[in-house]
Amino acid sequence: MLGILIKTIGELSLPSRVGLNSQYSYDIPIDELGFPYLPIRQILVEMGLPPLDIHIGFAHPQGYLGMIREANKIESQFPNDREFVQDLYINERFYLEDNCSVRSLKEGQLFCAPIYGRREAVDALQSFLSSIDHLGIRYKDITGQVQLSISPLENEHANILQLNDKLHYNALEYTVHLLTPTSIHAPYNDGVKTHLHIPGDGIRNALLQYCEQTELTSTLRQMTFSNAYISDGLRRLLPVPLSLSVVKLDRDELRSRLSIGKDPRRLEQDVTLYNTFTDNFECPTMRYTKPETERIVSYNGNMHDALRPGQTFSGLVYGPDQALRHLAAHIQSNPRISLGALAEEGFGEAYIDLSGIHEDNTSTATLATQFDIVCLSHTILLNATGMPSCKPQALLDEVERLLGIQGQLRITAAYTDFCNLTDLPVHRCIRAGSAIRVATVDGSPIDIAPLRHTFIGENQHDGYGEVMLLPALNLYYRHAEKLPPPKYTMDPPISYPNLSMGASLVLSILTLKLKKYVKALATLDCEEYQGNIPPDIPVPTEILYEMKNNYNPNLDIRLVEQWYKEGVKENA
Amino acid sequence: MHNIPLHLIPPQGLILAYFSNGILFDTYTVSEGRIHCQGLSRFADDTMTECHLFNRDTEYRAIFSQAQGQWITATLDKSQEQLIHPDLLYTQTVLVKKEYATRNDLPTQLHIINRYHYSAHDTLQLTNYRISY
Repeated sequence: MLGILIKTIGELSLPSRVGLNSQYSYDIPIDELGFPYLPIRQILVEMGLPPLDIHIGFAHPQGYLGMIREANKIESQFPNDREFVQDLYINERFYLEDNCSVRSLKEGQLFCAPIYGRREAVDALQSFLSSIDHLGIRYKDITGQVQLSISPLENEHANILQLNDKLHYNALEYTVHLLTPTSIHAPYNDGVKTHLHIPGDGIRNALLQYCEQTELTSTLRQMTFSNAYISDGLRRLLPVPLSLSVVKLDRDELRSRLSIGKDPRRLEQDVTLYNTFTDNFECPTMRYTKPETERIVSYNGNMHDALRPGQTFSGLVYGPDQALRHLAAHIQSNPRISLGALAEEGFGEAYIDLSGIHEDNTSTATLATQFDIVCLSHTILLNATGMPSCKPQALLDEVERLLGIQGQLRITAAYTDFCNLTDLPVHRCIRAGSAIRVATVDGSPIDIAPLRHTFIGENQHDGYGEVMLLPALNLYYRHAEKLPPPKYTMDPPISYPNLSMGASLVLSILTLKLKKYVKALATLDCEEYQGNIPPDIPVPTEILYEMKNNYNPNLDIRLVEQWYKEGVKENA
Repeated sequence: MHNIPLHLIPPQGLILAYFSNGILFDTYTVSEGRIHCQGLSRFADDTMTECHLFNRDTEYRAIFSQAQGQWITATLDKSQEQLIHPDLLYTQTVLVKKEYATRNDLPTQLHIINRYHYSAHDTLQLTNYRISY
């Protein structure tokens, strides 16, 4: 994979624009972990980059993939340490004479922006970059001088999945980690709302984009890509069935539960669980989550809804064994993809990883006289006139047809809804989460194993029609507990440089924190001198030693003592 | 490719067909036992998945069901709508793309006549539709 390498020879800052911090006249965008990034494509377009069929992502600091997980760990342990991450890259100044606040990238920084495109487009971009030695503004000390080049991105590979030549595989598990906000336009909302999942055909199209292997291209079109749903870091969480859209807790029942000491905060009545996800909706206490979204501003100033970066989405690809092996090899070499709308502006950047592989298994019979049919994704079933049908009976008829038991089932309960795929009422489908409970007419059990987890209806290859058949369980009363989606839990590609980048970031932040606290100590001690600072400032070595060992034991104590003395002099 | 029964389609009108690599929207006529449409030659090697042949009053529809592995066909006619209460017919007007709207032989708008009925639970349900212009 190739990328644009940006080396800051002088400090760099950008003109104020919609989406940046309005406190600053000139600013650098910063993500929620405190890392700066550059919308390099927008910057180059403003400088005259011609239209090219090439994708240019946001430029992040070198080694970004190796650092984000460590930065997130620090943020979760030490809230508000974002400023220390920022301090590694950013200078902040106030110019009194112009009444102007400026944030700028320090000189000597190295940023990388992934690019993917055909060879001709890359060559044209290379030619354009060779004429550029400056980015952003020129203002006082901020020269914007840079060195731009295109080179292979190091350590950009997915973690290796061990495949056994003797086994026959039928499905590949993948995980998508969002690196930038991702907007997947929901039908005819035009960006007002984003899907809270990544459609299967979106994943396929992202893998196909700029893929020059024609054999892989035709193979991918034949494989079935399930929707990628929010993950808890390990497992794909599934859409909550509509039958659970309201927590069925009778008020009397709630009162009696409270009287025996149940925590009322854990009991939520009348909770709307639409568009939420859980790993197990059969258990009495259902833990669910909903992906986080945010508003983003596109280059032309329009507001869009987008999935927040840092979240993880998981899905499956089904196909023949050889095709899966081919796809696994492709993903391992090309783990960066771009998803959704506004991808050309750098949004929708993601890192795809392989998290598992399934082999052919002989399924055991699952006998049931009553079972639930749950739609895990939008399901398109055509009626006799070729129009999509959204009636529960259509779902039942299709399941009967596939099991070869026409007329042997009846619906005992139905919780279904439909939604539109386009702005035409006729383009509609059974909404994900719809569920019907069915029973055998004569009371004799049937084997539901063939359809335990499968795809039905139309457009299966794009993730539509994913259904699950579950033996019916009588769980009428549910507690619902909402959990936040895990973020920044991705494992970086395993490599020595990535491991050292993460460790180096942690050490740098701890050292900055130590310096801050040493100087704060110096400020306090300074008051005792009441302005009469002796030439040889006494140093509380034991205290400084203790502080140093808490943050960076390998640091030279003399450096810490020097910070202390500087702190005293600065506050004299 | 689906064998379209010529006796069920309007003798001339518009064709809207979806192929694996594109969409065809053009005029057609039937003569000498075959359909004549200039745009069809572009999709000679392509796989058709859905087609609608229609004029103002009649539509022939053929949709390939991947789930069932066969074509689903239907013929819709304006005369069928005489039996439906006017309040249960909703006509939606759709603008065609600019590349088609600039042509003299194609309309700038299409009408989707949606047919509704009340279910046993008194909810309004969409039962069918017909494309017209």
